Order: sequence, then structure tokens, then C-alpha cells
Amino acid sequence: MTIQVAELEQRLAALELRCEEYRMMEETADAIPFRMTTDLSRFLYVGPQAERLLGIARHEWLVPGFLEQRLAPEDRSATLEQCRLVVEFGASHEAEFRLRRDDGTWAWVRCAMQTFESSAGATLAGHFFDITVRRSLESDLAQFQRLEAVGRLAAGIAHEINTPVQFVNDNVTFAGEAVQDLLGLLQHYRDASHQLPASEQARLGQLEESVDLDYLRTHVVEALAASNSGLATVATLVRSMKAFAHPDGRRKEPADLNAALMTTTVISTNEHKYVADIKTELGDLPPVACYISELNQVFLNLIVNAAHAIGDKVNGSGKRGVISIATRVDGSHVVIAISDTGTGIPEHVRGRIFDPFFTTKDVGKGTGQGLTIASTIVQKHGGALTFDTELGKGTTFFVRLPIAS
Amino acid sequence: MSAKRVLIVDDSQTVRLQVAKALSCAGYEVLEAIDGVDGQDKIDASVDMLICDVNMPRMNGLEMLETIKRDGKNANLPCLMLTTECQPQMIERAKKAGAKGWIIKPFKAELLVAAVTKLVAAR
Repeated sequence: MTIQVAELEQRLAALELRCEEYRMMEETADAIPFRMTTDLSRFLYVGPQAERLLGIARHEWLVPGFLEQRLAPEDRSATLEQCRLVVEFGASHEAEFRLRRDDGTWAWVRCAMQTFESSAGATLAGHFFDITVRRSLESDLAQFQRLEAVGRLAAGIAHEINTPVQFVNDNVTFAGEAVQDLLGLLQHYRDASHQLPASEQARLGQLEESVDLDYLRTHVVEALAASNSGLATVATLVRSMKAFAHPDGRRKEPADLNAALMTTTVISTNEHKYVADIKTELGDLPPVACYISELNQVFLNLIVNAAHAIGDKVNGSGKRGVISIATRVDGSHVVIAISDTGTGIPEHVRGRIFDPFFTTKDVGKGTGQGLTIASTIVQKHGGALTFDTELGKGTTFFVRLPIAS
Repeated sequence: MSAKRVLIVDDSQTVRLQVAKALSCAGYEVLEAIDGVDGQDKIDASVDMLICDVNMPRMNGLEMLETIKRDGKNANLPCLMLTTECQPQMIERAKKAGAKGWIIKPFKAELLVAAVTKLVAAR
């Protein structure tokens, strides 16, 4: 009898050890185990790693109504419906959705679930996986592909516009020179016309007056000069578009970042010309090994953001702000500083501005990807994207890049 | 007893094949339609269950479901939606038109068979 008890106790201890081992494995894996009531109203258990992996404290999960409250509104009905299918039909299924973390940001979650019957009744059980990084990469990729398509299109259009602009420009220049010559000749005719009979002179005088010759002589030249200057603007814009959309090779190539910044300010003219003046302080920079069209994308994002920040501040008051662009060498790095005199970044969002999908802009205006992509590109170049901001005064973004690759 | 008949309406041949394979292995006879218009033509009293995609050319799944409900003849035919769409308004519309479930792709054969079995038996 005593032997049997001892043996049972030994087995029980072994079983407990086994249980503990399984619990350890389950609660340290990247798959987060959970169990919840089949009416989906509350969680009965969530692995402790949920706090670390998904940023939601363990006690929060156990609050009744957690799932419904924390699901992104767009995902709520579809997700609850997938859970309901599992409960109703007793088969396993998966769902992907966003959950609001304790700090207000969103975590993308994949959930594999099934029903689990026990003496205590049925529960919905399974695992959560954090797929935020995967989703963010997918979305970055989609954004890059869209931008690449737009870039190719722009380069194509720029090329098509370039040819007619060139010959229109040549013709206007030719017309300007021809008009100068004709006006010189006209003066000679005018001088010579004094030798004509008085009746002829009177007729010529009438004709000159009917076409308003004096007006034509001054304004034709002005009109042609203005056309030339307009065409020069178009030509600069077209050249900038071509430079901006220049396809990158597989390897980094040395590029003039000051020139790239000037190109980008031309490209983005329409974003800033109504709200801000551009001030530049460009230092002497050596060529920097980089993927230039990717950096152009970074500069464009920062300049457009600066213009929006100023736009939000001046907001139709007729006042204007300043976007300052400064470059300098700092040891083995170059630093590009893009400052605005806009609204500044409120303290509670400063930690999140580089987060994917984070935006303070109105729905449809920002994708929340601009700074995420900019930061990804700068990091890919071995550099860093940082900022300094003061509420109501403005923000400066610093792009720090190594000179050698 | 003859096999129960399930109609799958989806413009993707791959999905139709996948559904047909899962259900025929479970003993169902599977009919196929390539869009809402084709689906409507193929529904008659001999069909026991409908599985339906949402986005399809000519007539989408929601319109088809609503038309069937309006017609009245086959209004009680159980229906499952099988789609990648997850918009709350669409799900609500399908439920209003009598859909018994909204399965988001990718799906497992096991879930589809379990759902069809239960819904056909409850008829």
C-alpha cells in the first residue's frame, strides 16, 4: 500500500513537471495562446507574452467586451463573424485584424482558432500572431510600386513635353530676333518716308495710328520676352521631373544632394508656393553615394510635410511661412536640415510619427506612410532621420547620411 | 437517398475547383456558376445550398442574393458568402438578405464542409 502511494506521488510529480514544461513552452513562444467564451464577450486566458508582443497589458485582455472594444471599427464585423463561424460550425478558421494597443497604436494580428470542448463547457481557443511588421512591409511595397509607376509616367511625360518645348522656345527666340530686325528696318522706312509726297505721308500716318504702331513696338518685344521666360520655367520643371524620376541602378552612385534638393523644391512648387517662401543655405557637399531617386522621395516628403505644417498654421490668413533648407558636412557625414515655421508636433504624437499608418491628417489626405517610408529609406542608406520641434514655432527634420557607402 | 446538391457561384475557376473538391469528397454533388446571372439561371428546386462570391462581373453576389429573396421561390435556400471583402456594410447587407455566414478567404475545407453539413441538415 505504501509503495503504491509513493509511486502515485512520483507519477504525479512527473506529470506536474510535464505540465510546467508545456506551460513554459506555450507561454514563451511567439504564438500567443488564448481561450475565450463562445459568445466572444470575454477572454478566459491569454498568454503572458501578449503584453510584450502586442503591447496590451494582461489585465486589459480580461476586461469584458475587450475584443469588440479593441478591434479596429473597419475590421469588427468581419472578425466577429469569423469567430462566430468557428463557434457555430465547430471547425477551425483564421482571421486577420487590427487591435488597438494600450498606447493607442494598432497591432495587426493573425488569429488561428477552433472550439474546445471540455467538462466545463465549450470555449473558443487558439493562438494570436503579431503580423504588424509583415503588414507594414506589404503596405510599404505597395506604396513603393505606386510611386515607381508614377515616377516612370512622369519621366515619360517630361520627355514628351521636352521636345515641343524646345522647338517652341527656339521659334519664340527666332521671332524675337526677327521682330528686333524688322523694327530696325521699320525705323529706316519711317525716316525715309519724309521724302514722300504729303498725301502719301498722311495715309501712312493714318495706317500707323490704326494699328497703334507705337504700342506694338514696345509691347511685342515685351510679350516675346515674357514668353521666353515662361518657357524657361517649363523647361526647368521638365528637367527637374526627369532628374527626379531618374531610375536608380542596383548600386549606389555618387550624387550631388544640393542639386537634388533644388530639383525637389521645383517639383513641389505647387505644394508650397501659396503658403511659404523657400530659403536655402547649401554648404559645399562632396558627392554622396546613394540611390538618388529614393532620397528625392525623402526630400519631397519632408518639403511637402513642411508646407502642410505651415498651411495648417497660416490657414487662409494670407500670412506666409518659411521653409529653410540647409546642408553641411559633419565629419564623415552630410546633414540636410529641412525646417518649417509651422504648427510644430504635439508632444503626445512625437513618439509615433514614424509608425506605419500613423497620421494626424484628415481621412483621405494622408496615408500615414510618408515618414515611415522616409525613415526606412534613410536607414537603408546607413543614416538617420531625426527631428526637433517646438509647438507653435515649427519643426526641423535632420537627414544624416554617410558620405561613403 | 440521392446526394445533396450545392451550387457554387464564383468567377474564379480556382475557387470553384477548391470548393467542388472539398464538398464532393464529403459526398455532395456540386454545381458551378460563373457569376450572379449564371447563378440565378442554375438555381431551381433541386438545389439544397448556395455558396456565393461577392465581387463578380455582370451581377455581384449581394445583388443575386437579394433578387432570390425578392423572387420568393427559393427564398429559403441556405446561403454562405465566400469572399475577400470585409466591409461591415456588405456583411450587414448579406445578412439582411438571409446569408447564414460570411467566410473570408482563405478558408479551410473543414470549415466549409462543417458549415454546409449543418445548414443543409437544418433545412
